[in-house]
Amino acid sequence: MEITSIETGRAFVLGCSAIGAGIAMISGLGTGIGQGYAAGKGAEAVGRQPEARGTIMSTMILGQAVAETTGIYGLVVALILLLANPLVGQVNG
Amino acid sequence: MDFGSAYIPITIGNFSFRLTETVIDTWIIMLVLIIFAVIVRIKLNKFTEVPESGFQNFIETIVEMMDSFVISNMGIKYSYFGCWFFGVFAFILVSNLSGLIALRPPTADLATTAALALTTFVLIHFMGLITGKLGYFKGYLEPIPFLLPLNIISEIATPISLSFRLFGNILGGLIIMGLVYTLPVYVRFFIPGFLHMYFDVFAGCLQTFIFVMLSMTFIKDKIPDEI
Amino acid sequence: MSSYYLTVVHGLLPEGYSFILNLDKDLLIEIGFQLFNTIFLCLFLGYILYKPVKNFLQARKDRIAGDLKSSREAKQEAETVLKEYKTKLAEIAEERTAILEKAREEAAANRAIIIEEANKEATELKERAKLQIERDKEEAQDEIRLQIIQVSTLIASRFVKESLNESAQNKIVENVIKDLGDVKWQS
Repeated sequence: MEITSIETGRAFVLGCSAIGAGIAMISGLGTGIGQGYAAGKGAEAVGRQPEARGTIMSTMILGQAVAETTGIYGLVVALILLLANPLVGQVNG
Repeated sequence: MDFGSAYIPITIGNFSFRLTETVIDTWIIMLVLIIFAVIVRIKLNKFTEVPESGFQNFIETIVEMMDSFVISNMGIKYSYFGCWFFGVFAFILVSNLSGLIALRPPTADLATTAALALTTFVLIHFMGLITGKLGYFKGYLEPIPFLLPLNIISEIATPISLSFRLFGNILGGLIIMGLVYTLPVYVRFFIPGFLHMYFDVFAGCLQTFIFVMLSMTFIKDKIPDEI
Repeated sequence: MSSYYLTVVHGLLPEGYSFILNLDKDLLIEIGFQLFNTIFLCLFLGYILYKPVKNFLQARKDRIAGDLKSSREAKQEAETVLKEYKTKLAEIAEERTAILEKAREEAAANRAIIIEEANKEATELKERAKLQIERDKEEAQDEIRLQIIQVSTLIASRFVKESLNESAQNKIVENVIKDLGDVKWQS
């Protein structure tokens, strides 16, 4: 069975896409740090002002949701690369 | 491994489209919710002054919760947004939870989340326009007119980030669960149960909450403060 | 193809056609579908479920607030009326006491006057009675003296007229005495 150059190219693109997906998920690092920091500050605020718990919670969740955006972008890029790869179709012989 | 949304290609004349699993699941959810709403509407006439049945208590509780949620985020003047956001909240929540009853969550498809984010986008700018008048356009030139393109990009980024947040969260959970489900039964054992609890119930509720809260906040941001 | 987990609809649809994410023209059509579905569902839920229930709750809230307000007003009014009546009752009691006091004083005064008058009258009556008795006594004495004088005069005249024998003398005395008795009874 002969391996055509197109198949080789596709295999290469797929492999690189997998690596790219892995690298894209590094964006989760920043999100994690940011959300953890926000949660810590939220806990501090609740400790200082337990009566304002509801407001602090909703504000914290709002901030975390916005901070999560970059992480979600990374996740979406990774998902596209892994499962709906647009690059493989562009390999021509 | 097939985590995608299955579809039936349909062609009518020159017009072809895909009847996706998402749309069918959405119709199922719509049917359930509409029947529920009609039941509530019929039972509303039998509601007593003091709530006696558990059903009435439940309805009153969720409506009260939604009302206070809207009021705390948008103020008492804009509490009529509850009519819209109650539906959005119910739809997203039931969609996210529908993974528990063996449906592919409609929110795990970009079409659904993009449609939801689009409605929010329209509401944001509609409310900004009718409440802010000229101040709405002036807002794009702040802090300096030079930043106009950036402002426009950030406005466009709002619905994209809204839709991709919900979509990414639900799809991520779905894929992770799907991967675990491909394991043999004696390996995966009871792990999917916990995953369902986390991704469907916890993340689903949280993302619903975040979507609705962010929508409200964005709309409120465009409405100028009245002194 | 292994389905990822039990899904109802996925199994019913034809195999080989599935996608996770593709950004093309079809996505726009699907967004259109979902926009219609979402808007229809959300408006339906909002206007069939949410708004009537909210109106129901609002109506109840208003009614309770109205009831509370009216009951508070009624209570206030009742309290005012009660206060008024209490004041009135206190006034009446005071007045009664005053009237009673006055009546008692008047009665006491009247009693004293009446007793004094009665005493005075009684004394007067007594005095008068005593005076009358004295007068009667004097009258009687005068009369007796007058009669004694008459009798003495009669005896003396008889003594002079008759001869003075023993038997005649006795007879005269007896006659006088007899006459005297007659006179006495006659007078």
